Amino acid sequence: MHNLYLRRVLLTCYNKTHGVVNVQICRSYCDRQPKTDQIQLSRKSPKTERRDQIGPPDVKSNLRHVKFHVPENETASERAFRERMEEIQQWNQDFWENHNNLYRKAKKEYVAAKLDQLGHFHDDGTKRNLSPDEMADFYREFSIENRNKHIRYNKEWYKMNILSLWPALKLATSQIFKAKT
Amino acid sequence: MVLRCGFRLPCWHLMKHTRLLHSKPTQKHNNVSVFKAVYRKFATKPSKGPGSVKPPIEVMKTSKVTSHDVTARELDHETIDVGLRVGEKQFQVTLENKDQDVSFFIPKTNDLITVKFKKADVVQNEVLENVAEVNVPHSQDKQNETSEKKEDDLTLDSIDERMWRERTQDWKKLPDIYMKLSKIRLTGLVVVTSMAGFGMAPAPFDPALFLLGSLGTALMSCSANATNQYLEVPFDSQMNRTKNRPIVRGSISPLHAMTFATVSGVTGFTILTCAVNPLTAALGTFNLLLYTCVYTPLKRMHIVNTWVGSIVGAIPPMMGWAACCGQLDPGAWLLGAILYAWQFPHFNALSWNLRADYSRGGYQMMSVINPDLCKRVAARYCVGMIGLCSIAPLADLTTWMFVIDSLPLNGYLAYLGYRFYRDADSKSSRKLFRFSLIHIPVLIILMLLSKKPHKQDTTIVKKSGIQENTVAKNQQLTLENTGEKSKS
Repeated sequence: MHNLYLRRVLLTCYNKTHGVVNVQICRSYCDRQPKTDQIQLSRKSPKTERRDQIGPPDVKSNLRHVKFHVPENETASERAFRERMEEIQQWNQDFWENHNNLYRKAKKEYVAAKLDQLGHFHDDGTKRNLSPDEMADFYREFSIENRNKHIRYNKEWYKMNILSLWPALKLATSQIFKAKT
Repeated sequence: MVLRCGFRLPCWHLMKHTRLLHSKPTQKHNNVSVFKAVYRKFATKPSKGPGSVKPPIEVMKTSKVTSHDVTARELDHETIDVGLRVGEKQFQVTLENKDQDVSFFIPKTNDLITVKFKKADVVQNEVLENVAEVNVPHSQDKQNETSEKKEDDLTLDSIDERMWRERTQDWKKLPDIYMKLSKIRLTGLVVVTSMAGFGMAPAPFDPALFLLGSLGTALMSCSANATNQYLEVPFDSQMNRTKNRPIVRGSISPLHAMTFATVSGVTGFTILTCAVNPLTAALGTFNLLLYTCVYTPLKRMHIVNTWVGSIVGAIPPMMGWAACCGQLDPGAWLLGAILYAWQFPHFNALSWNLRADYSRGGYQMMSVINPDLCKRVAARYCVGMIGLCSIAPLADLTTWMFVIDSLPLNGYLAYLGYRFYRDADSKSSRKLFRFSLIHIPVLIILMLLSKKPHKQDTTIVKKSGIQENTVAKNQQLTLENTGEKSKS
């Protein structure tokens, strides 16, 4: 029977609001006096590719990227479909990366301006954080400003998404037949 | 062979073994997810203002796991078979030569237990039992856990929020994925309201019809939700509330999801058309199209989407009614109106705390674009609910008893709606949202309890009785006629 000590495990990761932070990953136990350990998980995709690889949410666009597996004897239609999917993925990435950057920048500017106006500290000396009500103006303005952009994006995305369904179906059925013969 | 039970860091080994555990078909306990990991924010960014520095306290929960046993046997020099008991659960794991430790993550208690094996003098096929038993200490810091800190928790449902992983199709997980794809809770609510519509309709209760109608409605709801998720992938990725949906996570392909949507939609439609009645099927199809083709894109276009979404919520009880008696009486419309009115306090309160996400994600939501209207509308419909429930007896839906016993329920809803209107903070909106979840099932139960006993039943029975008699007489006559004919 061992008695164990608690060990704190910290994970260095990127957080949207706080930048690089240490997160307590979870508690772990050790049989000696504990000390804080720090580990870092890699965001790189693995080298071996037997199947498609799905990534973690992208830091900038929040989208999960797929690394498509390239089979050895890839047919022309498979290749065309894969390239089309990669194209759509890149297009989505570009849009959301831009958009989220824009949001971050606009929010920063708004918060700075609002704090200049209201004062950076409360009367009792604590730091002022903007309340949701004070942020509401920003949310509204940002939404209204970007409305047309989103409508265009939405239309385009629906088109791409729906049009890629048919080749996907054709490929899937041909692969089923291939597997049977 | 000496086995030593120690504990080590959840580094790459965790990832290796989690994959190992999942790729093993012999593993019996699929319900224990080793993939799950809850990350907790340890320290907030040190703030510059004076007096606001929070001590970096660990947020922890007391472990339920008090001990675990380790059994190990070495089959050959390449692999090692391990039987592990963690709490009440048992595992069979095969370890390769290089990796001689295995990690378990227990999601609810937030414990990571890593068992490390050290190789010593190996005796082939030796079986060791009850090798090690370990006391896992209880956390002492629980008192320091405040509600404020809980909100700060950075919760990850899965390790794949940090890591790449292979796309695999685990057939055992498919039912779970389908349930997520069809937003099982929402579908459940839809079915419950349609059952309520069926129960309230003034026609004799037919169990087979009831089950078929509910099944058809459920399937069409599944189809609508799956289509919605297929269309919304990049938008869903942006919001915390929706980023764990299966297509976003890559646990199911868009094609597979749409196949599911098509199959369930067509099956639901066929059931409703053939076994129930065309009116119900038409209502279901209308609702499916309204939800997927109008409401979903409208979210990016105009705040009117909330009203359209409320119509979508109002139709299921009318479908239930139509399934029962084949037509839409005033009672059906009133039932629809009650559900329509209910959507506003429910959704407006929900969207109030998601304003930042909605703004960033490109949604044109009432809570963002016009917060005053959002509060007003929610409060208005809360009060309107009292009015709608009061006229229920006039539409022959319920007895006057319902007006009285629904009053406290609706009164409290109206009070919370007023509080939301007055305070408009996250606390009041959350309260209103939570109560709206209790409100609708309780209201439905009250409604069913005080359903108006309908006299039509007996008249229908009498009428059909008369018809049967006449039919029987006619048959007798024809028989006699044919008999006479054959005689002549």
